[in-house]
Amino acid sequence: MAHQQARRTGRVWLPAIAFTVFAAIVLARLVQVQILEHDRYAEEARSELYASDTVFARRGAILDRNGFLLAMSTDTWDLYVATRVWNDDATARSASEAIAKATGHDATYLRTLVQESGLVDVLVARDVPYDTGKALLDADVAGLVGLPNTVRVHPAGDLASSVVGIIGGENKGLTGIEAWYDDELLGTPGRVIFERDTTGSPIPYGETFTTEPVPGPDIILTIDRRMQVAAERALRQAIKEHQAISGSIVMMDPQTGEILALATQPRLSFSTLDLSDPEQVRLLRNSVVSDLYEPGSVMKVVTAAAAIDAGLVTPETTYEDTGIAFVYGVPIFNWNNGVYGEQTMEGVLQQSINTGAVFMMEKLGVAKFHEYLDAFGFGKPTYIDLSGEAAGLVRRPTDADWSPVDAAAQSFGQAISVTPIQMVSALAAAINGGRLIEPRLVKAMVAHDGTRYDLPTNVVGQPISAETSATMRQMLGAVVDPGWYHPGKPRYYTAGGKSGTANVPIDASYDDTQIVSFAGFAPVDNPRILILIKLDENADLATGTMAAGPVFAALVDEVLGYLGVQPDVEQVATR
Amino acid sequence: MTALDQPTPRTHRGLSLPKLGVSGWVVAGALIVSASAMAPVVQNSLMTTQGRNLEVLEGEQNTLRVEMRQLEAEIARLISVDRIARRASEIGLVPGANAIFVTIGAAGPEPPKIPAEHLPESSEPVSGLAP
Repeated sequence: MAHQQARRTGRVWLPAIAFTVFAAIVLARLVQVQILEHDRYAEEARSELYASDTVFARRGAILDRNGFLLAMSTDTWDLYVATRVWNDDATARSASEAIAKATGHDATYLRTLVQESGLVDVLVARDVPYDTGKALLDADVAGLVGLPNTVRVHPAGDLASSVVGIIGGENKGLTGIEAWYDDELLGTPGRVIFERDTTGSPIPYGETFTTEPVPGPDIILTIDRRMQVAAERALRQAIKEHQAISGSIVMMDPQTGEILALATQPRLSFSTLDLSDPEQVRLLRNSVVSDLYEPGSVMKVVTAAAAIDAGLVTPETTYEDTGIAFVYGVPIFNWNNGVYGEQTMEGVLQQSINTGAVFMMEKLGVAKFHEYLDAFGFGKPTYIDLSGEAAGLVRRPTDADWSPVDAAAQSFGQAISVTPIQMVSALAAAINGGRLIEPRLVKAMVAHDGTRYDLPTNVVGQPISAETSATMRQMLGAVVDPGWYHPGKPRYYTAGGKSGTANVPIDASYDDTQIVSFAGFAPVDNPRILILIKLDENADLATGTMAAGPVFAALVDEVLGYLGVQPDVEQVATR
Repeated sequence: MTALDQPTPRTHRGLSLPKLGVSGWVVAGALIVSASAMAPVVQNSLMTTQGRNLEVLEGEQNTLRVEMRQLEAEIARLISVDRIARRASEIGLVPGANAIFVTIGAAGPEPPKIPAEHLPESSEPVSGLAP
């Protein structure tokens, strides 16, 4: 039986071709995936495998000029619960009771919170003390996850709270130094890149790449905590004694512009701060830099300095006070309607004579007077390192509602609005040799590696000469030591200063309420301290000299003694 | 010519391998393969142990850092002026009414025990005034 020869066909090529085509497609796809689009797929693979997280840097601390802590960050935990783990009632009950016991929460509330949230992870406690949180986490409470956080603490309590300021929920500064230096304090966040599992959790001992966060620098304020305590205490007492509604005290080193103490009342309290209360929200504003007031007779210091610097008067120049001065037909009276007769310019400051200030302003002329106001920094911010600073208001001839009487009123501190910090800055220039210095609250920054960077003193102008400044010191010394009793005269130190009492302006008129102030310095020959005390709407209607003068005198004796300044008034015992 | 015809004696200058039977070589090969296979496992185990130790040490370091910061805060709270004043009041101290300044020749008190970087660049010497 012969085998039948199979007929040769080409069908065998069909699967061969099919397989070849399939192989070619697979090959092409491999080339596409592995060669042509390698980078893209490699990136996708990496993004699947790796996850990253931001590691926030520790916020820098805030210290007083001698290194005592005013604000710092301490570690806490934010505690989360994985909802799925608490689906079992027994587990939820035991875990919630463990958490409640440690944190002081109610266990039933915690279970309800978690079970009704509808989220994967639920925040059950924020800013739990580090030790408490760690004990809970070490105890492996079911479903509990802890994320490290920090909380701002203020070891000195509410001291200098209006300077230090507060931070918000995202560790971002909202007011004060916390806000102004927020970028610096925050530091540089780090980043951690890690291999993750299918749930997104880090794979234990997997590859990890970490960029360490750089902590924010510590900020050293110019504030001295002892002087700040003295200022806050004196302000509280003065407000109470004179039934004022508010007030402020600023102490400055007139040679450097460093603010040694800055007290405001009322002030925010860190422990009871409630931002849902509009009254408390108002306290976030620092009245020393934000609130305008008419300085009253304290402005006569600037008027006298300008007139003397321009060479138009000397302390001995005399004029005849008749108790009234007419400016474009408008009568201007003295504050007490007194008539002082022939007076020197020194006498004008001693007696606080309005007509004498008008006399000096008229000698200067409006244009020159305003040049000096500008040179002393009025009408523009001082650029102190606090947010919310107001520029002040100086009415000028170019203003639509300008009246020539305005310049006369400005010479004794009305028709002009300033901030307390502007007034302090201008007075410092009047007595420190004529240098207008940018006031500042930060002395230095210390990086986490210990490198210290001191901020320089910034002299921004020279409104008057050093000679004029020396003359002003003597004239103002004669105000505080006129040869008769003066409430602003310190016991142990020579001092100079000027009081101010001004009615509160409302619409185009003045209210019956008043703002009183006293600005002074000590010692006279080499001023170490400049102090402005301001009391708002004191119900007892005491003048600036009577209400704020004694506060000045007491503070000078206290703080100069603390600074180790040799008393320069006789009656000092030496042994 | 006789000497030339004699065969040269063989010298063994190379490495002499032990005489193993076939099974011996198989066992040795298996051992080498096993050792090679185990090496990464052992290495991985060692690394894991060291990684774990490192993690524990980092945790301890972090805990110590936290404790240090807590102690700093506690010290700052204890030396706050308010607290000292309150404590002084509790033990019956009152502010001095009339200060008398005297000049003394002795050195001032020790500076505060705070980190040097936080101190002023040039601390003012105590003048010797004692109120």
